[in-house]
Amino acid sequence: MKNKSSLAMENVTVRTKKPLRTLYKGVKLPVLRTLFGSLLYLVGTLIVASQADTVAAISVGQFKDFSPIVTYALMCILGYVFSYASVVADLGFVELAANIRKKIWKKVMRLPFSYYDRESPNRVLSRVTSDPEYSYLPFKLLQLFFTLLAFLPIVLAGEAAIGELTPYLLIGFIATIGIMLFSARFSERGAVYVAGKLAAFTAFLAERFGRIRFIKAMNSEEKENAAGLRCIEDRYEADKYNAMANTLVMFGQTFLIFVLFTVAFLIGSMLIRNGRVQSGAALAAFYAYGNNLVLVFQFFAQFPSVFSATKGGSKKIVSILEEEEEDPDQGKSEFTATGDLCMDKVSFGYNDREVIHGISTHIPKGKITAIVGPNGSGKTTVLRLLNRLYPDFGGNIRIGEDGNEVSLRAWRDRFGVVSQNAGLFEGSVRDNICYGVRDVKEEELRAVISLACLEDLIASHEGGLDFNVGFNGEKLSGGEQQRIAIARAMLKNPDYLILDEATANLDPVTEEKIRTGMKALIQGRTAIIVAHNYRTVAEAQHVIVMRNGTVEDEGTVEELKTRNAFFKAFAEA
Amino acid sequence: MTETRNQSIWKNFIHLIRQIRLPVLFLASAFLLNLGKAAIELTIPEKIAGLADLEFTAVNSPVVKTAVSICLTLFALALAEFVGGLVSTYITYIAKARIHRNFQAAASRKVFSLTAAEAEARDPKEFISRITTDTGFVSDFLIDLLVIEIPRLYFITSTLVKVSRMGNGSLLLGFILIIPVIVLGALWSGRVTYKSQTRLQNSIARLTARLAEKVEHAEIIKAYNKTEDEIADGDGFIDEMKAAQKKTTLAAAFNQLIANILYAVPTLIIMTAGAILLLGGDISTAQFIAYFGLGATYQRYIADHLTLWVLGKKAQGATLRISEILTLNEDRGGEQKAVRPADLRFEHVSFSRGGNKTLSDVSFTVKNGNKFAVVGGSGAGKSTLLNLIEQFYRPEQGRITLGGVDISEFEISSYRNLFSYLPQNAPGFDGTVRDFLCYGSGTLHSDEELKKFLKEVDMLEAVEVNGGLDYEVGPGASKLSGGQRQRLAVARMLLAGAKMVLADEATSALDYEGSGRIAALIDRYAAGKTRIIVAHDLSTVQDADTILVLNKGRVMGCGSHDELKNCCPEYRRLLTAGEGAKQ
Repeated sequence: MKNKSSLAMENVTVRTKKPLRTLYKGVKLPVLRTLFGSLLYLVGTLIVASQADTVAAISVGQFKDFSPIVTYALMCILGYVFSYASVVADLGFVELAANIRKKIWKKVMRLPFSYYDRESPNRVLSRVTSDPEYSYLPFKLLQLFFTLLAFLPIVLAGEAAIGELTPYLLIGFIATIGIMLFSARFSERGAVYVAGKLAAFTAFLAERFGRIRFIKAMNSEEKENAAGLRCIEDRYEADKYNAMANTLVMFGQTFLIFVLFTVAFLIGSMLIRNGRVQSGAALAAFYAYGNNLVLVFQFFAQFPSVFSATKGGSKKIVSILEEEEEDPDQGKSEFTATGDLCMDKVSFGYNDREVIHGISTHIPKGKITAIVGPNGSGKTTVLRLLNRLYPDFGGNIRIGEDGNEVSLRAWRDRFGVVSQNAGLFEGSVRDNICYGVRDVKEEELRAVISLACLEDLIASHEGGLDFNVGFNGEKLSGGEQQRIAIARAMLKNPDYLILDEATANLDPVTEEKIRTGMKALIQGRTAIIVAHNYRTVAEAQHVIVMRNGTVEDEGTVEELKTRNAFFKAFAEA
Repeated sequence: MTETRNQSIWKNFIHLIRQIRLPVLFLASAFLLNLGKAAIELTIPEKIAGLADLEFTAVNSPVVKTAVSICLTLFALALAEFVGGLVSTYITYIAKARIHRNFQAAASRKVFSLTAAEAEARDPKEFISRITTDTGFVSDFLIDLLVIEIPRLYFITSTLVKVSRMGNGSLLLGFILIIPVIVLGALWSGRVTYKSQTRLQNSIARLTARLAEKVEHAEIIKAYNKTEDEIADGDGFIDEMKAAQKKTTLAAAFNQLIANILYAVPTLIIMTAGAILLLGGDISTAQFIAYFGLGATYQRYIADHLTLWVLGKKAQGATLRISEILTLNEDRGGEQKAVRPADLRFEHVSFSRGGNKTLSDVSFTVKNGNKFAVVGGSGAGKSTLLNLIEQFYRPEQGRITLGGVDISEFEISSYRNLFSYLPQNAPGFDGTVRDFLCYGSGTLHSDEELKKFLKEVDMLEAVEVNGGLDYEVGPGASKLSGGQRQRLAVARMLLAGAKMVLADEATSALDYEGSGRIAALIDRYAAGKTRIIVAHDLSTVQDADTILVLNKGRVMGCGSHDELKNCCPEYRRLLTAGEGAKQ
């Protein structure tokens, strides 16, 4: 027995040796619980399977009193109770999934920002939320293998079994597992196919039904209806594929019974002819016996789906675990230099495509510098290079003599950011203002609140500073969110400040409201601004005009107005 | 009372089925195959009982022949059941997919043809779940009812008849007694599974929402050096989810235990009832074997029959909800197809929405070919006016005429074809810039033409930087800014080239200069055509032939800029407010 189980383990691990090691490294594995739970599961299955003989005898009327029925009833319940107790293993699996989840979450948070550019947030999230569900499946698979191996001898040892027929039954049953494995792939694909088409249709309808008046005004009801029908037709195609896949699954399930009939009666009829079987009752008993085994065998029907999910799920997780992390503490942690922020021949690209081509420029200390340029010219990328959100660039970005060798943590500590999306987190106003700063003194907090003009906000929301702003700050208006973001940046007290379209989403009245706070924030710092509207840019002392990933021109507002075509148009628009 | 309600549900259900074409051939084949399967399942236990009765010692005795022939019959029956079962499974799935498709098509067509008022009175999500989910419930029920239920009842009644013919009442009693046990089992497992699943779903949703926030704000987290804190924070949520998962796992295992026991009980009841009689010598062994064999299948059929009940419950609600949509008003209009630009008149029109009077007794005339502006503060009724012209809504009192004919007499799409509409916020759908520009014009324009108009609205450079006409604008054209969408919408309108222009705050997202340029562009292209323009920025419409001043749904004045400046206080108020905003 011991030999067999270690053989099973080898089977699993050889297949996915390295990925599993990556997956489980540093995670506490629920080995004991799995073993104990599996043992209970095994005992439960064996108890139920052991009743095959009793059931066979009962169903052909071979009993003298009620004792076999009572035995059968008691053993069934006992078997079920043992199966229930095997939940110990399942609880261990939950524990493992949570540990893997934490491991991936840690990884996700430590990934460089460029990863988030590459992968959609939903994909990243499903790595943490749903994919770890599959992480325990190798253990589950092990458990099933173990049970299956122990179960087979029972089939051979049954009294009702006819020695010559049983091997055929076994071969047939094992072949069925093969069919199930085969069909599980199709049904999984079918489910994904249908879900995809349904999602496309839902997205289509959601977009259309939100704009029904517009469609009518454009006289496009018929056209949209036809497009809807195309989505429905696509879904129908997916359903047809699924019908095929589900029929295959059905094939696997009903094949068990068909095998039983074939063995018991087709092969059985040959044995009758040869005189090897001399009683119809023996065949009937064999059939009843096989029927009970079919019931037990259906326990293993989960086997194939477990198997294919294991392969897919852990692959995805492993791929994220193999991504390179960024280490915020690597490099020099002493970093107090002040001065102009300089970019020396900085270039940067994503996926082999260079988007910033050797920029060299100065951002003067203590002044406001605006970066302008058409969409796609690289403004936001430059901002992200400046606070080293993208740390892998060519060239050097430095303050005084300190540049790339400074650790990410030390560098980023000197920068504050306010962007278009305020980026508030679920939690109190206080937590959001104090984000990123430890041991805030009450008077500091008061000072910042007053400078960012937050008193009225705090007074008007229930709980004041403890008011919960909701997910993404959704319980506050855009202007309120932005003022909190300003206060947050102020409290951090950075020497360098990055403002990326900080007021782009606000209406003019609100923009006016936060102006005072914004001025207080910029006061005495080196500020780098990207803005769409000219009025904000006009306040800058230095302007950099970008085009196609290079610096096209730089100078004061007045200089550029006279000599740079883009800036002129921008100023006059 | 319940009687009539049930009747109306069946009436609705039948009415619903009449809306679609049923795949009759598929349904009939699947039905026959299922009937055959039930017949085979009725026969098998008797055959096995017959076989069990035989003893044979001599190799070539006639008994051996009988035994062999019974064995071969059993194999043939099993083969037929196996193959027939697969074919019927496939056909049933296809039939269900077809019915579902046809229901979806009917429901979706209906929703697209609703009047704007009906469509907007409901949450779009509601329509979506009617079309995608509810139609599925109805299809599932219909299939089960048409294809599976009658063979199932045939098996159940035949079994009961056979058992009662064995000549003993207590056998029949055993079969009837197990029904409540099976019902109990089904109800139990349904409820417990549902409850624990809901709990887990909720905890996953909470975890996802919280982590999503962090993933979306990765930039802030990194900029504030908060990575480690966020890891610890996330771990807390993961632990919460783990606790919920453990509860669910325990509940599911316990549920399985109860379900297993409830499954075993009917078998034991049948076993015991048969055993009493067999041991008492009231039935033969062969009868016992047949009886016991039928019992196992009977148990399965009763459990399946319950699924029809569950499906019926779901379909009942779904039927009512879909039927409700089918009764909503469609957007049709009148018969008259010939429609030409002419004077448009409002005659004492009143309209209210949500209890608020948005227009009261409004009368005015838009002369054919004029530039006609509508101004007023927010809530003045400007957009309502355009909605009435487009016939999204109908006036409560008074009437609107075009060339003297009530506009409701025109066939609706011919009528709407007359207008180019520039709606507020310039909407667009997922697709390319090209799709955006060609939307609604019914024709495909050449690239040169598209580019010409892009240039006119100062968007050519922005589009080309982003990859040209094939640039994907994203769902709801969300990758474009409000101003870019408005510019493209103007290009789209100019391309469509209709006979009358309706513009609702068409340049609200543009700055002063841009808004003036676009207004001039529209005037240039649409010179000589009727233009009805709703504007918040008075400076772009001062040259209008007529300006209508609205306040709280009432007409405060109507005339040229110069006339109004002198004699309409409301207009002067709007004028000064506008000047103030610009400075």
